[in-house]
Parts: sequence; C-alpha cells; structure tokens
Amino acid sequence: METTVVQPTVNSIHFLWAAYILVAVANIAMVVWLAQRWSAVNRKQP
Amino acid sequence: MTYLRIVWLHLRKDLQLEWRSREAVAGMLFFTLLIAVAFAMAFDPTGYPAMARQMSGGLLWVGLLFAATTSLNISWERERRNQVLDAHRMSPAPPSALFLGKALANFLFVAFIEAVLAPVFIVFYNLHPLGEMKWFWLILPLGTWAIVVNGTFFAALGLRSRNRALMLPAVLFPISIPALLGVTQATTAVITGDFEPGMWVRLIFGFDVIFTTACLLLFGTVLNAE
Amino acid sequence: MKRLFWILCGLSLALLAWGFYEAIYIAPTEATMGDLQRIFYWHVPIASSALIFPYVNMVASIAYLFMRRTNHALSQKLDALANATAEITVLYAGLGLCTGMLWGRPAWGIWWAWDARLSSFLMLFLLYVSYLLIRRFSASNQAPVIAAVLSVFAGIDVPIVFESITWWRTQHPAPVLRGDGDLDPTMKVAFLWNMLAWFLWGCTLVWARYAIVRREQQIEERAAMEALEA
Repeated sequence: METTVVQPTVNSIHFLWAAYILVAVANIAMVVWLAQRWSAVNRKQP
Repeated sequence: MTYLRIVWLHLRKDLQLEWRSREAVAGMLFFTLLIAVAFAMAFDPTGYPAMARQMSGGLLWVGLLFAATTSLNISWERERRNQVLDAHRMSPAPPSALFLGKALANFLFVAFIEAVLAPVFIVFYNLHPLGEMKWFWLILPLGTWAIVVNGTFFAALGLRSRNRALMLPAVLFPISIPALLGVTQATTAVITGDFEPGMWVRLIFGFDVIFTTACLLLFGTVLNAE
Repeated sequence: MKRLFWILCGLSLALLAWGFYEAIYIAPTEATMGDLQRIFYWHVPIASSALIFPYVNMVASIAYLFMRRTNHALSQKLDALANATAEITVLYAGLGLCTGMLWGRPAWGIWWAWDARLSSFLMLFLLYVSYLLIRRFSASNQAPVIAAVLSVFAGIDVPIVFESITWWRTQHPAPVLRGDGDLDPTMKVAFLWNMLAWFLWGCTLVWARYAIVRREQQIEERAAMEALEA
C-alpha cells in the first residue's frame, strides 16, 4: 500500500493573515449577533 | 392482532394507494431516466469504457438517491390528508408498525424502479460487469433499504415543517454518506472487478441494522412529538 | 451567575489575546513552512473544540428525550444547551475547515483532500448544519423533540462515517496532508495557551447563546400561559 505524502511547497504570508482575519471577523460577527438577540429578547420583557 | 399483521395492513394500504394514483413511481421512473441521460451527456460513457465502468456505480446510486427523495415526501403526504395522522396516534397499534409498513412499501417502489432502470443503465453505458454479478443480489436490496429506511424516517420528521421538500435531502444526505460510500464502492467493485466488494457489503449491512433499529425505536417519539 | 459569565468572558478574551501574542511573536518560525505555519495555532485549537461541543449536544439531546415528560424545567434547559452547542459547533467546524484550506493551499498546493480526517470533519459540519435547519423549519412546539432525535442519529452516524471513510482511504490511497511531527517546546507552549483560550471562548459563546435561548423559552411560556388564562 502506497501513500504519497505531499510536501509543503510555498510560504505565503497572505494566507496566514487571511486566516486570522477570517477567524476574527467570524467571531466578532457572532458576538454582534448574540448582542442583538440579547437586546431583542430583553425588550420583549415587560 | 400481531405486530406483523399490523405491518402488513399498513404495507397493503400504501401499495393500494400507490397503485391507484401511481404518482410516486411514475415520478421516480422519469426522474431516474432523465438523470441517466444527463450524466451520459456529461461523461460520454461509450467513448470511454474504462472510465464509464469506474463511474457508473456512483452515478446509479446518486440518481437513485435523488429519485427516492422525490417519492419519500409523497409517501407521507398520504397521511396528512383527512387527519389520518391523528387517527394513527390515537390507535393502540404500535407506531413503529406504521413506520415499518411504509418503509417496506417505499422499498418495493424503489426496487421496482431499479428493476426497470438497470437494463436502461446497462444499455446506455454499455456495461458488462467484470466482477461477479451475484453480489448484486446483496448490494441492491441492502443499499436500497439503507436509503429508504432513513429516508422514510426523515420524511416523517419534516411532516409539519415549512420547507418539507428541501428538508429531506438536507437531512438525509449527510447521514447516509457511509451507506452511499459503501454501496457505490461495492457496485464499482463488481463492475470494474478491481477489488472485492465484501467489506463494503458488510458496512452496508451494519448500517442497515443499526439505523433500522434506531428508526423503529424512535419513530414513536417522532409521531407523538408534541 | 451573571458575574461568573463576565469573568469567563473576560478570561477567554484575555487568553485569546495572550495566545495571539504567543502565536505571532513568541513562537519560533517553523523550518519548512515559514510564518505560514502560524495558522496552526488557531486552526488546531478551533478544530479540536469543534469536536467537543457536538458531544455535549448529543448528551443533552438524549437527556432531553428521557426527561421531557418527567421534568419539564430541566428538559427545557437541556434543549437550550443542545441548541447553543449546535450553533457553536457549526461556527467552529466551519472556521476549522476554512483555516485548514487557507493553510493547505499555500503549504501543500491543494485546497482539499478526501482523506479520513478532513472528510469526517466535513461530515460533522454538514450534520450540524442539517440539525440547525431542521430546528428552524420545524413547527415550534415540535422542534426540540425532532432536533433531539436527529442529534441521536448524528451521534450514531459520526463513528460510522469515520470508520467507513478510513476504510475507503485504506483501499484507495490518496495524498495525505501531514503536519510536521514534533513540536518545539516554545511552540508547544503557544499551542497549549491557544487550545485553552479557544475552548474557553467557545464555552463563553455557548453560555451567551444558552442564556438567550432560555429567555426566549420563558417568553414563549409566559405568552402561552397568558393565552390560556385570557
């Protein structure tokens, strides 16, 4: 049974920052959404 | 009344209803035929026989999966009219018998489609299996049951949901991936003759046993889900 | 309770900041991949946490199915927990997949590989997306039960998926993406800080979502009560 191992080929900083920005944006968006839902839910309370 | 007699009554009811309207079977038949044609146009099987042999297993099962989902929703539509579902809930008959009867009916419908379309596939893709054909007697029923048992269950899950037609594929496909993998690998193994299908048949069998049990045990919960 | 939440939130954010600092400035540059390898400090912790929350979802769902007739208050909490963990699973699994792809393309030249680990992880993502879809589109009084049943099915399916895809790959070998084996001790420290930080942040998000779902449940119950009494 042969398994080819793919070796690392390229070093690109852009992908690193793209990944970090993606993660940061996704989490911030999640926090903003949660905050919106929280205030919506509290507004409904008498 | 014994459990099996109740299952038989449900099965007979579904078969009779389908015989009178023929909506599910006709729809599935035409749909699978169209998929076979569309795939043939995309991949030109007669021009590339080796590739056709590699791919036709997968194409057959993907086509069947899509075709089955069209009929599975219809199978529960019958129970929505005339408040039949409430009658089922109130009757002392075990709910899993309703499920089993309906799953068996769906199995027969899809098996009928396979019987009609297998010659079509063989003709369109110039297939002559290089492996041992007798495996198909195991692969086809087991694979069909895997799709139908989960499909009938998830179609019931979506009974009172808004987007019923979209829900079934969205939920059925991820769960069925192991069965789909097993059945396409086994079919390809028989058609190409490159490797043994035995392991995959065992996977599908295990999948069938586990999920049939889960469906039978949980159907009562779903039927009485309020 | 509320103070505990804010303590957890503050702690996770502090740890996230510290983990980021460790990952970018303190950890040494890796030999083969260069600075690109630093994606690893976020990719693996996020992906690992994404494997923990689904189990919480499954346990909560099973407990919900057992208790929904006997202990209504507790079962509502369990359902809220299941809902919250499912959403965070989808977020983390999605981010794990994306960061993995962003790492894989420059490092190994391919965006994706259908090997056991990646395929199973994708399946996990798909299963929980379908869980959220069925929650959203079911009739509201039934959604908890139906989602709980689906969660049980997903739980049964995940090991089967993993095993079957592993068999598939044993039979038809394909390129394997392999990270470098041993971690330099400084790297290990940075890695562990990030593991902790992302897990605690995940818990913060679950807690916040749980609180919101609980409030929504209470509003619904109150509305139902008022409708009955009117």
